[in-house]
Amino acid sequence: MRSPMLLQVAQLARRSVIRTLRQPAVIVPSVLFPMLLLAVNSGGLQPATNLPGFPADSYLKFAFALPFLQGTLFAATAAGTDLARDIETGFLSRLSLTPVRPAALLIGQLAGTVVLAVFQGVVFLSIGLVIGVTPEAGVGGAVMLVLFMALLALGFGGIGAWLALRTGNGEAVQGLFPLLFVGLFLS
Amino acid sequence: MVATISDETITRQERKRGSGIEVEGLVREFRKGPRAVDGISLSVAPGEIYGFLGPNGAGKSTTVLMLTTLLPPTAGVARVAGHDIVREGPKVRAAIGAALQEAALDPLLTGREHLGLQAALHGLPKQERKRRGEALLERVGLTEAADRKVGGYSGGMKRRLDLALALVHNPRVLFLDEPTTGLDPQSRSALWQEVARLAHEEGVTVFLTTQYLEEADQLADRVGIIDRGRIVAEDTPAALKAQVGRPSVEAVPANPKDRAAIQRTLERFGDLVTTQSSAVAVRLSRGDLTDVVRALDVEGLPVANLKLNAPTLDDVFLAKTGRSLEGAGESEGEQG
Ligand SMILES: Nc1ncnc2c1ncn2[C@@H]1O[C@H](COP(=O)(O)OP(=O)(O)OP(=O)(O)O)[C@@H](O)[C@H]1O
Ligand SMILES: [Mg+2]
Repeated sequence: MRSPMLLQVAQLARRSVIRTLRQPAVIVPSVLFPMLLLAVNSGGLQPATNLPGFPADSYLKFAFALPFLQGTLFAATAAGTDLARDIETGFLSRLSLTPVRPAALLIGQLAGTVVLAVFQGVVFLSIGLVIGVTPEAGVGGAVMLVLFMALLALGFGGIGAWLALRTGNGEAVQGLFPLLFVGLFLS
Repeated sequence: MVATISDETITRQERKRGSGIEVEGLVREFRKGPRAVDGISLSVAPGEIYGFLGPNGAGKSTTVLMLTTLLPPTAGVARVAGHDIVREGPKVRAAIGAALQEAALDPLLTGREHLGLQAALHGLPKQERKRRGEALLERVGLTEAADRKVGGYSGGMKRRLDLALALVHNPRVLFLDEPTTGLDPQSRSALWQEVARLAHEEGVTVFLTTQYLEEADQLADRVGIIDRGRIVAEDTPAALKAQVGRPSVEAVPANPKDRAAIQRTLERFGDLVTTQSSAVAVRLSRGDLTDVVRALDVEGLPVANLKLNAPTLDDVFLAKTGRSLEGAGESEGEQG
């Protein structure tokens, strides 16, 4: 009696989303910190836009891309940490004693990340509206941006999950992610 | 209170076709460590409760992890419910339920959510899932706490939920790794009752590890005593105790300064046995309790307490390993 893959994914995704929603301590900073960073940056660095060859006319516009990236990284770190915790507590062992498929396990785990990323995207866009930054392509662009964020979170989440599986340790995942973040900036 | 499970008849029949455990020369080596499990052979009959008794670090959990397919053995073969643990992992997993040493629960989910997830992943149909979940919650006494997050559960509640989760898919073989560690006496005896009921009424084969002599003694049909990865004795609790034979006499000196004198007197009746307290104890090999009382009286040595102890499984452990079970693991500086 093997439960179909789709059902398994749905069940695990539900769990992952429930977990995310029940951790305000993860949701709040994941929205708050990128916004704080934005506030600090845009306040102090506006003169940078006067430099010749700067890509955006308003630094705010440029700076606004950062929270999206940072936010997704937050979400993805959470995904990796969640999986690592499941390894540490043995919850993953419990799951692997059921006929669940490894792929279902991974996709299900990432669902919470995607939900968090979409939520962040919507919040950032709303804040953007308030402070006068709107995506150039209008509503369609906004939707695209949120989708892009979800995809990015999925990708980073996948890396996080991989790290978790390799190290089996939550701290390792949390420790490695900032490095990844820095790496992304240098590239 | 107990739910009637619709596929009960099917499982009954399946159970008849072998749901025991056969282990032959099982070994597990960890990198840079001693052999955690060093060539274990045992067999557990369908419907039997097998108690795996040993101190910290003896290799109990490692054995359970191998038998539940979560850890590959270094050598040896084992069949659980008729299936090879290495080559037929999925079949083994379908037949077994396991509550491992650390109750592996998600603190953010409720008890009911745990059961729902577990049942769904095991492929139970939707209506069945709900019914099964409610019945199990009732059975382990968690109906009222079912909608609270597990993070707020007590240790005993977590253990009971763990047991319920292990039973969701009606397993034929049940593995319980130290199921009553940290439970209060009441929850402990409730769990014992439930395990006994599962084995004796539903024919579930139970492989249970414990550090508690009393637990192995009361619950297990047969006990295997494991020490440093090897089985040092195996039989029914009664037969094991009969091997040791004679009871021991334990005296608590009324004045601590008399301790040495009391020890000398007692040693006339048998060999010294280690105790944890200030008491002096010997295994009786000459005379009986009245002779001991008379001798102490003649010497004029007052005692605060005098006890005759029937042989215990600890005595068996002592006889086989030369160490007492209590604290045997700690003396090697190991921890659970
Ligand atoms: N993953 C591991 N890596 C290295 N050594 C291990 C590992 N797991 C267990 N061991 C070692 O194997 C031995 C047996 O451990 P095991 O956990 O099976 O003992 P146990 O009988 O379950 O003890 P306890 O009563 O404390 O739970 C111990 O010496 C332990 O240190
Ligand atoms: Mg153990």
